[in-house]
Amino acid sequence: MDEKGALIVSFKKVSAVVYTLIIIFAIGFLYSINTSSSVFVNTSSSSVGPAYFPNFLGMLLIVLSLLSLVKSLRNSSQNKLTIPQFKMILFTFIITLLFVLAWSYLGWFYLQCFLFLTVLFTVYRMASGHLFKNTITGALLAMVITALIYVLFDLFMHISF
Amino acid sequence: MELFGFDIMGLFTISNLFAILLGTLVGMLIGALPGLGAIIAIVLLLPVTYAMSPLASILLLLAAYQAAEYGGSISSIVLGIPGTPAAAATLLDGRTLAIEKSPGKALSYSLNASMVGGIVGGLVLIFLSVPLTKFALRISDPETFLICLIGLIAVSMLSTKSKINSLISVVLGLIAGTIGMDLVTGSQRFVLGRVELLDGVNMIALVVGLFAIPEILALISGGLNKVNQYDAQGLKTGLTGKEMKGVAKSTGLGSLIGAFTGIFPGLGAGAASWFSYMAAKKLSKQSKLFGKGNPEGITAPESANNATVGGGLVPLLSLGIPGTASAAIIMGAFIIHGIQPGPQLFLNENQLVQGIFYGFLLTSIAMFFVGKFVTSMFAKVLVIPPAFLVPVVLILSIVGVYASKQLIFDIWLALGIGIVMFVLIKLEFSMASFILAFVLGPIMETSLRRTLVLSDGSYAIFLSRPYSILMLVILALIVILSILNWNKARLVRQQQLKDQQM
Repeated sequence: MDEKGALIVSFKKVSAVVYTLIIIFAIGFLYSINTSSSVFVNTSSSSVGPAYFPNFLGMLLIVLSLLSLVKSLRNSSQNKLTIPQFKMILFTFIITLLFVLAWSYLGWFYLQCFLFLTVLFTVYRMASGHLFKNTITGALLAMVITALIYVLFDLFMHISF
Repeated sequence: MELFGFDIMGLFTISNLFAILLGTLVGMLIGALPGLGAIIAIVLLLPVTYAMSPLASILLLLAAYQAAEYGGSISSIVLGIPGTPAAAATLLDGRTLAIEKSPGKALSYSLNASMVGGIVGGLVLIFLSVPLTKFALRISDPETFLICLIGLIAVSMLSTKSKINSLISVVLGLIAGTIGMDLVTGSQRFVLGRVELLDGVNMIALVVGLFAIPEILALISGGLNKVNQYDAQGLKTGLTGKEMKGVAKSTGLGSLIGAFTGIFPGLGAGAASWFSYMAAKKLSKQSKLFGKGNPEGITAPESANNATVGGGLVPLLSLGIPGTASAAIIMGAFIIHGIQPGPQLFLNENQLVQGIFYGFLLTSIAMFFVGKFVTSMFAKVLVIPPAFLVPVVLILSIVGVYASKQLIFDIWLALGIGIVMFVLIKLEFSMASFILAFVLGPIMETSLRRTLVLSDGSYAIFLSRPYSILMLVILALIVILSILNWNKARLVRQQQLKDQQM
């Protein structure tokens, strides 16, 4: 990671990891399809039961990913994959996880929503200084958006959170 | 009042008109914001469709799609930042005209051309869908399977990104489409013990994960406090009769090219805009002024990208096959309401189809009038930094996913897919290929299984029917041409490397 918070990794390494993970996923998919507790999967009277198409797809995925993996390993290019503002992405991810967890376990959706938005608005504007002003602006905006969600989803669409 | 057997007044209900107005406003606003576009507008509006009638739902999404295509030109012209590949063609002359004359004039050319393009696209939809449906009713399962296959291969091969990664995206999309309970035997496939997956992957969770979450992360990556500058003067829109006459040829040309390009899977608005720009330049009496603020350089791509919307609906409605990611998401709205697009739709839901036809024309007209009033206002929202946009889009995405089935599981699914896709997009995987494969997967599988049951497992059936032989030839041609193009590009790259080393 550089001093500006960007994540810089080798394109080749990330590609190799991703293709390997896809191959593992494909093997897991094939295993799951062929060992499913569902009796119909492998005992279908015709050769084109419910496992036929998924099996074909799983094998095709392995072949294509293997080809790509070999191609990426043979690639001599030193290209880098850069994700600028990685720290902020990580922060957003963590705060979103906490919000969804808190909402699912504690309830109180509108309060959680207001807090979640206030935190995001404030932290995102932190670089511009004026912490107090940004927090007040963020809280006001969060209140308006939470109210809009209430009106649109709860009052109009009758969806309770 | 009846028009071709359709009660046109049934279209003018409060819910339909409200849907068109809401879709137009949201689509134009989101389309105008750099970094966001038609797909995000449709994704964010999709959950709202649960509370609407099928016709109002589809009109809402179509209005948003149309308006977002026009909205994309606002940031291109006012800021010089193209939000989409389609708007990149508009930038060449749009930005120059905005600087040298006035942004309002350039926006007016764009708005007028977008409306004409939308209407031409709508007319192509109306007049081509019925004959194509008649053809579709004559074909059977082997041909249905092959049409889907052609669509997916074409999308992968025409992808500007890595072709093999695009193919992997197709396979991943098809796999995602197999998850859930098999409709024929009732067996569970890859549900991992989760009852939430028995009905398959939630479409809204999937599209939010595929498009909205990666877009949010990309906005954060691009800098949260980046403030765009623009000139607030001269945003008033309006054209004289003479000015409109001067661009009539390029607008007509762009509209026709756009409408017919939209029919072909995988091409979409970006390709149509560039084709039209090049064609208009070639046929113009003032071709030397292209790139220097020639209004024809705005009207050709802008009419084309709106015309692709109507063109793209032709295969969706008549064959049940979407040609673009946006059309695939709109197909999701049909499925949400228990309606399967395709030839049977014309027989079973004729009033809905007619409503979509005429309602689509209405969305183009609504876009024009709403655009006249709000373009200057929406141009001002371009200065909103991502620090304010990201939390709003994020919470609307989360709430939208929950609203679809009221399951927290779907939110986790969307977030998980979003993170994975953010990385995969960096590695040049294609989300458009993924979503098209996801919606086409169940159709492909059903038609393949029925075909193989009929033939007792033999693939020779595909060679025993005239239409399927024709489709196999088309498929082979697409593959051969793509391989030749790919090989040519590889040789050019190798030559460039050699030249650099020398």
